Amino acid sequence: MPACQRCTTARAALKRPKTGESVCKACFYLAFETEIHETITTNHLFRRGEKVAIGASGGKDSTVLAHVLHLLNQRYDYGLDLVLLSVDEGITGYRDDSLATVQRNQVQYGLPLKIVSYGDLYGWTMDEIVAQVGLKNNCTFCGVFRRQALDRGAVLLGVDHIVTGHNADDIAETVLMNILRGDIARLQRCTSILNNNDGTIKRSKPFKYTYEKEIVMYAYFKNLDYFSTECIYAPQAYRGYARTFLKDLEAIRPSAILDIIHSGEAFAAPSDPPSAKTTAAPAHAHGEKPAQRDAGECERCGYMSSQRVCKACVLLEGLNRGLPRLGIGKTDRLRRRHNLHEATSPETLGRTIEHMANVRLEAARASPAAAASPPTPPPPAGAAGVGVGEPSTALSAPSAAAATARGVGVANNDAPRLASRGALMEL
Amino acid sequence: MCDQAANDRPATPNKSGRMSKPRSREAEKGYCSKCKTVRATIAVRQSIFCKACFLTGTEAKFRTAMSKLRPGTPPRPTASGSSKSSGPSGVLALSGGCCSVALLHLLAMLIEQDRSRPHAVPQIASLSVVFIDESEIIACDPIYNLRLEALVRQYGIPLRTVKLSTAFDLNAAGRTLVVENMMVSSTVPNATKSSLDRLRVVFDSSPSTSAKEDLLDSIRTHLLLHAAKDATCLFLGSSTTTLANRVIAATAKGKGASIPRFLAPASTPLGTASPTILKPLATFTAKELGLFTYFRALDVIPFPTLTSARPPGLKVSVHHITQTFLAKLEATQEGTVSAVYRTAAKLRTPPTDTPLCPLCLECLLEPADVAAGTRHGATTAGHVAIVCWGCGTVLDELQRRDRRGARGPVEVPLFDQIAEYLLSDDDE
Repeated sequence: MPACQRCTTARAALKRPKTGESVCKACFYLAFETEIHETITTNHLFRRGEKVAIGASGGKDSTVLAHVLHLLNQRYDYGLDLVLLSVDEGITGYRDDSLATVQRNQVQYGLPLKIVSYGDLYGWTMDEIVAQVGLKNNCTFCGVFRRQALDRGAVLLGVDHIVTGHNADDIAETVLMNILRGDIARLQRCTSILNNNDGTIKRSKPFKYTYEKEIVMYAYFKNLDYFSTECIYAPQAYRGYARTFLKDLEAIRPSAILDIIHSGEAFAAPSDPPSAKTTAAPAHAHGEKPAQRDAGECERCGYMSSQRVCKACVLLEGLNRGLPRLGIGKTDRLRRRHNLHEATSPETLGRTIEHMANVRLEAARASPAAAASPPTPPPPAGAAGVGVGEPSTALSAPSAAAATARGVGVANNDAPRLASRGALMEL
Repeated sequence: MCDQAANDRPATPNKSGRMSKPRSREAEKGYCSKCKTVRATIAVRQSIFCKACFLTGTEAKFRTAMSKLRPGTPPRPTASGSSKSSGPSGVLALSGGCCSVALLHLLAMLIEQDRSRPHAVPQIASLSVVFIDESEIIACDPIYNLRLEALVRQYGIPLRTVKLSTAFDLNAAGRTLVVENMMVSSTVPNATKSSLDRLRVVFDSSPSTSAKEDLLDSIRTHLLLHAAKDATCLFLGSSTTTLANRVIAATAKGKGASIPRFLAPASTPLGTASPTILKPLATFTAKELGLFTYFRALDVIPFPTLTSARPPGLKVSVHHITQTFLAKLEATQEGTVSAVYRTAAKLRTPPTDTPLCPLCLECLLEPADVAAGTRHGATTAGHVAIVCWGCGTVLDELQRRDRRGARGPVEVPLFDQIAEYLLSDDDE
């Protein structure tokens, strides 16, 4: 057996997918962890004392991320306060199993855990959404909803920063996908390692230059506990095309993944004036301009938005009305056909998402007590899906009161919907 | 969001059984979209046409594209000072494929039409054709060369054939470039080896087909610019499909920064001292040009490439994988190729003084710290400051001798642009 190319003393145990070097396990771990540390320091991702939420799904990327960040935080003394944040989309047979994994991670790494669920936030689980929407545009719903869910969970936890496990393969696929689909706006943003726009919580991707294969090898050799199945609704996603292409490229030239990311960085837009798109909407067809709404906020739920109503609210309205295409592609014609104007009365919208102002209030109220409390032991296996400190009940009581005070739809799952869930209105 | 989602027309199976949406409301009736009187037989882009309208439409579209390009402006200062004939001169790079053959036919037609209108200002006064002969490294039936000569002779346009090995003779001082690990140096080559031998050594010694294809592209570019150095412009027959393939391949090689440059319909890689490179067919898909050459009965000559001789399923190079992928995707998701082209055309480069990579003449050179160490652990390291990221990978892979990791130095043509760098380094 050849000797390790780095330390030249131990026997080589594996060949690194990224570099092709033959190395022993110890050198591989060190190289893997040190490269991530260098990515973090070169890009100044963290500040001392920051509270950082790790987006944890129970899959290999987030499990390794939790493990490595925990390790680097101690080894290099970043001074970070780490927590795990999980999203329950409500996908039976997939998400409920992976959440059990996250709960085990919580114990293994000694990190507090919070779970936010689509059912609680929006009144719809992904299973129900796919039943109405089908398998072609479901990823759009999930992505938009997840983004808000993570931000809301982060506000409740009082964190300053969310890290996600997006790896080099993911980012390379995204670059390719955006070129193929003609999405120039996303193409210019997708390789940035740190997103720090006003209105949302700072997000970063420490695994930006880490190969997926190496993450898998790391998790395997270190015997890390993770859940390894693809989302059951994923097979028909457009991303699959880009993925196949990327795998073919990687087979003849392993550096292709980093090369694509390098190209993607060259596509990044030169700095645009930041508030160009978030100024108040141009004069509406009806000549109305709401006076109280802040520039850049959704008028229904207060989440950051460049339009009057944020995408999540639009999609949710579509689901509630039985118009699953609302918000997918250009839907002005659809709106006109069904006489849906933007200034629709709240009663006909059905359930809406709880306003961000309430969420912040809730967080402020909870923080003096919650911040210092040690992580509670995980609930028994049968109660999978309920987070630490029973957040769902804490959410619904005061928010229901606030909601009814505003005259918006009641915030519980029994809210009557405009059309029956299964019925699709004629498009 | 993807535009395709907004298309709410139902899909119906066509003759081959493939589900496809009708191209437009009018198309459902089956008559030509232009003349509306004859039944359509051709489906391109989002419309259907009869043969006559398709041909006149293609020719008219070409005339419009040429008038937008305005080959004569700005007029180039001529080194020799000789009086130019009544207008700008052009050199056409002919590869024998359907795109460049179509371009030859259309340009010849344009010149003919301009000549028959004495008061019109000609867009191109004179045209000559250059063909890069790759038979020294890619075996080829000699009858193809004869066919090419016959094709060009039909138009009465002079043809010049340039052999690949002349790339080694481009450097005035007769030196070549030796690359070993991360070091580049120029050297007076061994006199016992001819240019042809040197060329064969480069292309036979490395197993990396992608690197060889890239080197071939660079050599071709330099040879073409050299052949056209006295002309106003150099015409390339790149179609939308060719350019879309190049966009994806460039992205995959780390050369994303070069995309705005090679997508521009007019570009001057060597500044005002070089001919302007023009691509009048950039808005035509390969399908349109293929149909055009078929209907006009033009001889398309299938010269072999570095990847022609392989079995079809084998994936051998970045370019080859990209081409297959896009062709397959276009077959299932029609419009992908033009979506790629249109998206990439919106990318902008900020104006900058950084020089271009002297090897590929497309990418900007990056600062030394980026080129050298920050490949994030990967060992296909770039060559410090002298070439771009993508060409750094090429030079690195050319040094490979086998798939297990053996490496050796490689000797490549020394282009004047690279020589400038080396001399200035020596001066320091």
